[in-house]
Amino acid sequence: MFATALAAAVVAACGTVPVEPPSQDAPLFRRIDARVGTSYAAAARIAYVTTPIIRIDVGKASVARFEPAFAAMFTERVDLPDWPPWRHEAPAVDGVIELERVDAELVLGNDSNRPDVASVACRVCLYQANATEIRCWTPSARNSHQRGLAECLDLRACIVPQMEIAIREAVALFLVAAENDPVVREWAARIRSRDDKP
Amino acid sequence: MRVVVRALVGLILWLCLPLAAGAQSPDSISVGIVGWPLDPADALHALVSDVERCLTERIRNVAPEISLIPQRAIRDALFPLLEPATQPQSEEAFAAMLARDDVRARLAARGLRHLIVFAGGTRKDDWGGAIGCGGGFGAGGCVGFMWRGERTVLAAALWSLDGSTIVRREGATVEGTSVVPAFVLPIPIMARTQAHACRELGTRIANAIRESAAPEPPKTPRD
Repeated sequence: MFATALAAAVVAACGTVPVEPPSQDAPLFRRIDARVGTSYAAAARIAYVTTPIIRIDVGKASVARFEPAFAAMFTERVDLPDWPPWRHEAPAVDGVIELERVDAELVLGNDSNRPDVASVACRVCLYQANATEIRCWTPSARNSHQRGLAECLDLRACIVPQMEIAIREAVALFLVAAENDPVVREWAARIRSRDDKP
Repeated sequence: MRVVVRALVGLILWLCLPLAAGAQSPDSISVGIVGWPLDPADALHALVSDVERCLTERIRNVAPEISLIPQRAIRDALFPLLEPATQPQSEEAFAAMLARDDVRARLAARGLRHLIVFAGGTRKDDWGGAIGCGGGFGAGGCVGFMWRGERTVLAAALWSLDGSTIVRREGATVEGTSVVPAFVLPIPIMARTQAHACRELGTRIANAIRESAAPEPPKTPRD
């Protein structure tokens, strides 16, 4: 039993394919003047999809993309430790932004009439330091591609970019929504006016 | 010993100098290339596509002085504005995006003055005709004829990043038919409409970039 589980784990580990990391360029965002803590919940970090031949750590890839996104959003960013949980001890920040969940799905198709579909859904929330919710977003993206005959003889060549594009799109949708969110701008204005007071 | 060291240094210089000269070519024109609008139903080509590869190769052949920045780098630089789900929906919106200060700064940091924005693709009909194959008594073969029409339409706009305006539009349309005659063995003869359209468009775009980058001739005073 243990040997089987170990063998499965080894196969899964060997078949794990990395998703292209984000570029060095910071995402374009009208920066919010606030000191914000960042948190990545376990439900987001450990998300993965697996097929009989490959495993993609979607959570890890998503965190890698949300990190620069959060950094681009605020003038100051603080990485919050996993322990103690920030909800229990209000950190000394203006707010906390948390990647709460990442859910991913990969449906393999074929090379004639059923496309491969990669989909990603995330939940990101911005809280006040006392854990009062300011705003939550649930960006999701789906990438569908019909493989042609003899296209992607190595499936990874198609599947991994599909998943990468889905993650990129989810992060992009989040950033665009957050940048234009009046609730967030109001919150930022409140912080500014509080800081401006003598 | 000294002779060996000299020889090694000489060899290294001989190998590296051309590279350094190429990298710092003073007349190099940096141009970005990006596909837009993207079809959200098939966004796999957002990072790299056959058309991009082909256009890049052709432009480099026609005008080696043009240094092309691939669409992946452009999308990364402008993230999150050019993803399939967030891309501008109209030419006006695209121009407005290019006019944003942060976008201009990002592209200017790469030394870009122009952006090639391409669109289009190939539409293939269903196969017509039939081929039958059979065998027996130590022999076999196929007989028949199949064909398929295809049409490639490619378009590209050369945007000037100075004024966020289109300075040139080019297009190429190529139609063709793939045929597979079979007499004993089927022999596919494929139409290469995309390659031909891409070659044509790449040449035009390369020339357009050259013209746009050329210094304006001095104005002569008129009576």
